[in-house]
Amino acid sequence: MFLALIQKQLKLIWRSPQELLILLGMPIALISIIGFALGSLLDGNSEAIQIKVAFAMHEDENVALETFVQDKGETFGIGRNMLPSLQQMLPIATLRKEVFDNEEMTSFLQVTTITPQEIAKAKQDDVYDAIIEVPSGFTEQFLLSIFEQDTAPVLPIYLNDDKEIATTVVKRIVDTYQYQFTLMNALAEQGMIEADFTIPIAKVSSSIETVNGQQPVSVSAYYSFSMGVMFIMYWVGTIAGQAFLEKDKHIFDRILLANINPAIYLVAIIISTVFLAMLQMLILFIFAHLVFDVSYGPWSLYIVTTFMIALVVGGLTAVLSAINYKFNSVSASNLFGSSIVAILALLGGSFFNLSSIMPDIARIGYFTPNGAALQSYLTIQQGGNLAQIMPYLSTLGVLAIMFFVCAFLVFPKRGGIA
Amino acid sequence: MIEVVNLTKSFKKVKAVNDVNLYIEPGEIVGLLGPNGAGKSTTIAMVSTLIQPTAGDILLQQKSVLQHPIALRNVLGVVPQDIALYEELTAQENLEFFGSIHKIPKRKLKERIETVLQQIGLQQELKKPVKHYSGGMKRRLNIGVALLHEPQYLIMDEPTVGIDPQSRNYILETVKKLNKEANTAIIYTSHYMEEVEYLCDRIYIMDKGQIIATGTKEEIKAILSSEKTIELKLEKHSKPFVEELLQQGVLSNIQVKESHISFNVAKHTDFLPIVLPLCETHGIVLKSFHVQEPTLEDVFLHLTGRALRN
Repeated sequence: MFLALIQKQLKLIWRSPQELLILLGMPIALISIIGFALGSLLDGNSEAIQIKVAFAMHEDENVALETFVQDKGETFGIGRNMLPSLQQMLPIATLRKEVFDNEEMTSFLQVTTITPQEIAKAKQDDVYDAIIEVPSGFTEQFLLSIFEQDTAPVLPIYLNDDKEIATTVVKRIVDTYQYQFTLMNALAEQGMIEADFTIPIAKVSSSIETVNGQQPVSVSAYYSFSMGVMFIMYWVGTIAGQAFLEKDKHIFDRILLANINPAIYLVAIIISTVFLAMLQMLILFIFAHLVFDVSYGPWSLYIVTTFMIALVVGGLTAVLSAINYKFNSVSASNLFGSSIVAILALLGGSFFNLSSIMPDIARIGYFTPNGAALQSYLTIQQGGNLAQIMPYLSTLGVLAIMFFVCAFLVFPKRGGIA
Repeated sequence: MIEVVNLTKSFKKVKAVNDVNLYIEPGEIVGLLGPNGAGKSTTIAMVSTLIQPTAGDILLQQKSVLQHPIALRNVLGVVPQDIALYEELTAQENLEFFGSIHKIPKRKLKERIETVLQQIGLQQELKKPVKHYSGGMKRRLNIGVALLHEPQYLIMDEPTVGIDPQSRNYILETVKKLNKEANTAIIYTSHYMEEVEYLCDRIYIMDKGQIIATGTKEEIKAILSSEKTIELKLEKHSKPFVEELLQQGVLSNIQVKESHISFNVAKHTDFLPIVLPLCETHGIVLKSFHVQEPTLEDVFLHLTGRALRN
């Protein structure tokens, strides 16, 4: 008899394609969209854009330096012994060595050296995002600007207008380099830094690490859990709505006339919901694993968390069913499905992690069923153990008990005219 | 026997059912008639033990069932006015579910489902979801579900509402057969007077929460049997003729509609010696006349001042 009540509930859900679409299709679609759209970007595993830069050298900087020392060394008091130091100051060599040929940059910068004769063709062919042309006499003019305070040389850069992002990146690199280079030289002139000081290059990191040194949670994993705990809440409105339909159509009267205690009916609602909610989470977890390679550590902790959130969802469903029955209206469950789930999802961090933006509201969110469950899942993902998720499990436990008590107090003991 | 004693139900200040007494004995069909809002559904809900009365009692074999409704529920089947079925499930699944919650053992349930399907004529299309059934088929299944646990008493609340005449006839015959073959006692409510007249041994007429008349069909009709209704069809309308007819003291409730005139006279009054001289005086040709005995509808109208379907 009890089994019949549960079986009936499962069949009803199975035969409701619209409900299934919301409860399973929607979270899968959202996890997919968010996972594919943001996943690689936020995880730092993105394929960076490839920027092609060409250097066209009209002169060899080292040869030009040697010629300068030979021709004007006496005038400026520069001996051959100073050549190594001067070599370190050469702007193009430094730009190539520290920036464009830097190991960190080569992942997205592809640098090629072309001859000056190839410049016209390269521009025409649209092969490069930027062409940096080092004109003839550039090195001499640069050295004169240092020793004679002469005008600084101009370094022509041709940017490909069709490739806005790439050219912006190149422009920013060169601007930053130019600023730092000028700054270093100015400081050196004032004797504020040592001559062999090298221009620091900002390290680019591509991995995300948490402050506490816990394992990072990938975006796909985060949204799999957050969407899961949001969509698990939709069972409340769905099952409570179906339960009301049973009252409205006098099916509940038939159940009572079969001498089924209303409390048994309510327990059947809770158990069906718990089962369906757990099944939904299992399907979402498997999907996330197969499609986004989300891995799970200790299964037992996930099962405990899922069971606890499912229990709360079952309790909440019972409360909403009781309210629907009491007030002879489906408004309560409709309101829950249309508005309250969204508010809970926002507070619980299903849309985005609130703790970094609004920590106070995030703390409130930990006391929502979905918020507590999400925190529990994330803690497990970060390598947390049972003790660490216990506060969240306790919150869920307290909520579940509270909902059960309310439901049994409010639920009518008889049927009657709708 | 089920007895309803001084049953009263108040919703806040409104008395939906006021001091109702009725009974039903094994094997009989009892009609419960009343316009919308008369209190029939509330009475049925109380008799079904679904709502508690404010006052009064319900007895099964002279034992109150108010505190312990199980005994009555075990022998009672209820066919609600609404289609109380799961539309997404098939007929088979609906019957299995309702049979299971009645704790009918699996093997017996299989037999019962077969029997019930025969009784309601739904052996075909068992695997089709109920939502694809016609209105008549749904009504029949609605009845079938109430028969699964072989109830001795059956309450049927307007079981033929909104269905085609063929299905309606089928249901009426099913009710008759159930009563005859299984000796099931039936409380039958309907808006269709002819259904009640055809099926019921005894009738209760309810209005404004009270039973205003009770008895067999003949006893109920006897309320109006002191009078008969006469309908005259004249060749043409004549105002002076009608005015003089109105002056005759033995006639009452005179209604004129063009060349048709109807009136009531005492059952044993000979009306022709009154009417024929008047026709002659006013040069009116009497084309035909019709003498009508009172129907249940007339009695209902007489008692409640309303037509049953209003």
